[in-house]
Amino acid sequence: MKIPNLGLSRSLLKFLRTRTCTQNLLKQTWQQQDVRVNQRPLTYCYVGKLHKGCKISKRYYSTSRLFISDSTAGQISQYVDLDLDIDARLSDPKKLKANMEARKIQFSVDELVTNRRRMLDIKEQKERLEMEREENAKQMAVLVREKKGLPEFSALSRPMIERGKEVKEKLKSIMSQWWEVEENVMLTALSLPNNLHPQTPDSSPEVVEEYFAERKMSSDLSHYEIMKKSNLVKFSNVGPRAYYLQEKLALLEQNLIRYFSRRLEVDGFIHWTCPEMFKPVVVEGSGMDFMNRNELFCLQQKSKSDFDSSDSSSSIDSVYFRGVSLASFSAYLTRSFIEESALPMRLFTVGKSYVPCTQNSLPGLYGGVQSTKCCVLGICRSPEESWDMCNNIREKVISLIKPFKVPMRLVVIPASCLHSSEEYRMEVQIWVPSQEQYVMMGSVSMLSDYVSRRLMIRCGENPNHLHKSSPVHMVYGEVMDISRLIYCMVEYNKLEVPQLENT
Amino acid sequence: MSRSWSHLLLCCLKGCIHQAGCLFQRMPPVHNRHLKWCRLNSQLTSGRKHKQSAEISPSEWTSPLQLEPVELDLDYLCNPDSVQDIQNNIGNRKGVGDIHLVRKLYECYQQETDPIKRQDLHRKFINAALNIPNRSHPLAPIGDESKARLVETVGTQRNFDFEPLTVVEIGEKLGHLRTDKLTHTTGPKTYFFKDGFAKLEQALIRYTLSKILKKGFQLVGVPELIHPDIVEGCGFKTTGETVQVYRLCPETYGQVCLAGTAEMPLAGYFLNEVLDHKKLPVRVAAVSRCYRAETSGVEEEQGIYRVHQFTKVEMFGVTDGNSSSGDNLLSEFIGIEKEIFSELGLHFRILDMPSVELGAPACRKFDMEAWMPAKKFWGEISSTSNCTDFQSRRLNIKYRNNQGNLRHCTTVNGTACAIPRTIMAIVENFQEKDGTVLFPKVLWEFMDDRTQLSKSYHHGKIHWIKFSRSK
Repeated sequence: MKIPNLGLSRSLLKFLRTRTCTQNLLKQTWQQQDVRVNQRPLTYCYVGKLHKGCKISKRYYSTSRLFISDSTAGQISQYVDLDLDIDARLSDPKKLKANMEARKIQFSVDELVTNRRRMLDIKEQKERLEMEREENAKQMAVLVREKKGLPEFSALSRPMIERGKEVKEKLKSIMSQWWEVEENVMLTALSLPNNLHPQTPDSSPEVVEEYFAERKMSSDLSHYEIMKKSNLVKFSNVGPRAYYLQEKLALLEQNLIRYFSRRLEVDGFIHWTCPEMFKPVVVEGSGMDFMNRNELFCLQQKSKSDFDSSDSSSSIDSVYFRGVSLASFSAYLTRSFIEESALPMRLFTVGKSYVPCTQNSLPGLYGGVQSTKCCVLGICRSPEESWDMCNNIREKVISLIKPFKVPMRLVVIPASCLHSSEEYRMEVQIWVPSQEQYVMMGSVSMLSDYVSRRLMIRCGENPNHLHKSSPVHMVYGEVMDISRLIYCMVEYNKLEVPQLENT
Repeated sequence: MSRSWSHLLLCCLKGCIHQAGCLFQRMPPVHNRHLKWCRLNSQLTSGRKHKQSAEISPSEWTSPLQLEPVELDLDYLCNPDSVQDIQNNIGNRKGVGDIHLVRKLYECYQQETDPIKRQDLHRKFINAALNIPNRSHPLAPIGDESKARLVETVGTQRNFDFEPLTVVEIGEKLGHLRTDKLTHTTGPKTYFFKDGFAKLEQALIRYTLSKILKKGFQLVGVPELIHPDIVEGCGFKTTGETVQVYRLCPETYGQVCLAGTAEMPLAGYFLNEVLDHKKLPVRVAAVSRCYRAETSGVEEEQGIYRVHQFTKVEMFGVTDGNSSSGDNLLSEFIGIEKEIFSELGLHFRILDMPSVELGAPACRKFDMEAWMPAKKFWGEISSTSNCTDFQSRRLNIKYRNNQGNLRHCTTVNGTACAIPRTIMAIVENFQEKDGTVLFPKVLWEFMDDRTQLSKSYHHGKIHWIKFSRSK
């Protein structure tokens, strides 16, 4: 973040740049960058721009746990084999530019294309030099075998040795170029968002369906006043945005968990219970930015000698605390080969989700730090199958909420509001009287093969034939934010859970 | 923009950093103008138009947590006649606490006249006094773990005509559990329950709730991110080398811990409350996710016995300060737990825990240990403690007695069901030779009439990829 030249003297500018207060302001600015209105990641390109004006270590901000350059001294090893298919993505720069424009991301596609070309050139040179080194070594071996001890050996070997040294020096030089360009290209490629689905609107959200609109109402009371008056929620300062659900709502929560779980089970979704804490590989692989403390919580690191130090490379990593989310499934599926006969696969999990509160969070309990959510994942073989899965989950979500008979609508989200991992997203929104607006209760997102390419999630006929496998296509859905639904039900004064039919 | 920058620089020069920071936060960052667009667009997306006038944060969220000064039992702690008893008690427990230091600081405090030094001494005195553990019940055994008194053994040990498998072996074989190859994704001591185990978890929660709600417990939904003062008020340490409590990065999120048990937020539920003695005892329960940083290298405790994240149904009671009330409530909790585990058909024993195992807050503690046939050991599945007024003095939980006087409550807590260990006990004890597991009958209705655990539908379809990076 460069301090603009406002006609101040150089010395004063220098003074300001080095003052702690300015540093703090810049840090606050950086922290402010993390404000995620629509979960837009701060790309490595932006990190680069920030670095130029800030006295902050570049190494800290330009780290990735998915790509680890060979130039690093082996303390952390790369955990997954990335399959970003960079050349395919760059084969149509216009499409990529349109994607960036639609998502409102400032990104230089041309720069990436240029760097990629340079990377391939250097790779070619590197391979040529390596071949030459190998050839030279072979010839040297033959010479040693046949001519060692003979008078002409020295004369014959000297040029080979010289040539060997020359190639070695060139390789050393080319390797440092290679590492630099490889890191640049890979980190930039990792920051690319998913492609856009043809059905994703460019600029404005599209309301696809609407139900019970005639029941929309407003409230004279604020959300807090309603909750306090109902005496069903006890607000507290024992923690950030802490609250206790009193008996009636606590029971309702358990009943809703049962309602959603049972309906999904009956429809063939397999129930999983997942951990709430994730390592950076999973976070980054799921398209989240593990540097963004507004997107997910980070746990305080313990010393390396403490507790889980069985693996040195993992123990020095931070641990992220997110709860039920896409990461719940990604963590399990990282480095997995799924037999095609098992696809499409439908999974669900129910549990607590934890998201930091930011200035863009919804007010009150709707923007709570802790909520109970029910999430699903569909794993498919192909884009066509995942489109069917997406519609299937959409129908499922609507069928689950419709019995509550509250005003709701289905909205397709525009490109600029998609998460980097999403190519398409539909939201189920319910009208909240106290807010006089529709609030998201559930969503379905098509992720295509974005996450699977990053986390090595493959499918095929035979697990022994990995080279014939392909990345899976995923559809992720937050079927219901159960906590938000509860508050909504309080506002509508409807605290009954619909009967479970045919279960 | 430049006008704002000039103002910003003026603020810096005047040293008003905070003001400048606030101003800066209102400005959209220069090279992320699209974020401003997104902010506007998201308002359009969800029709977002905050009701500015009516949406005021509750006072509970805007006021920082400030505990009332701790009201320790100074008559007891500072009485010269109590020193030996307290010293013995400390020695019988884990040796944490120094009563001599407490008395010395108290005497210095009493004698000091300088107000600043007096304040400092008072603070040190209170800190030292807070380290003194609770009194021990006169009937509690004294000594280490081996001195635990066997109260009762329930059920009988099953004789297997085959070598019983561990819960991990059964779970992984049938495709309902994963504990391996998770170090780099979710960390060691983590696990995934799939299909049958996930369903069994939900069934156990609903079964347990069906039992305890009939006994007069009120279910409460609790927060799991809580202030360290609440954790410390319950008698758990949040700092130090061997601490078992997770914290969020304080630089970013302030002082926030992850609750290791619902006992913590449930105690926080009664923070600064004055209860009506006629309504005592109050019984509350919570289903919560518990987060503990503890690990173990002990062979028996591998698998899902000691893990970092698990679900638990916890009972918490508040009663008056009479010792008999606390004892009665403790017995009641033990009775409920005994009923739950008996009906599940488990073979378990009830132990009156000795002084070393009490921890700081408990006056008396009873553990229940189920027989785990695979590794042939008794594994703790429940723990119930009477904390008398230890927690209530720290968290200011009081009641008004018959005479209208304020007194500190007695708090009692107990595990109704710790899910992973209960699953472990069920699966290992009810396994069949063919590798399946029969569920206890009481769980059938909660399992939607599923009576046994057999191979999961997708078992064997997901394979781990071995990978070594080559260039």
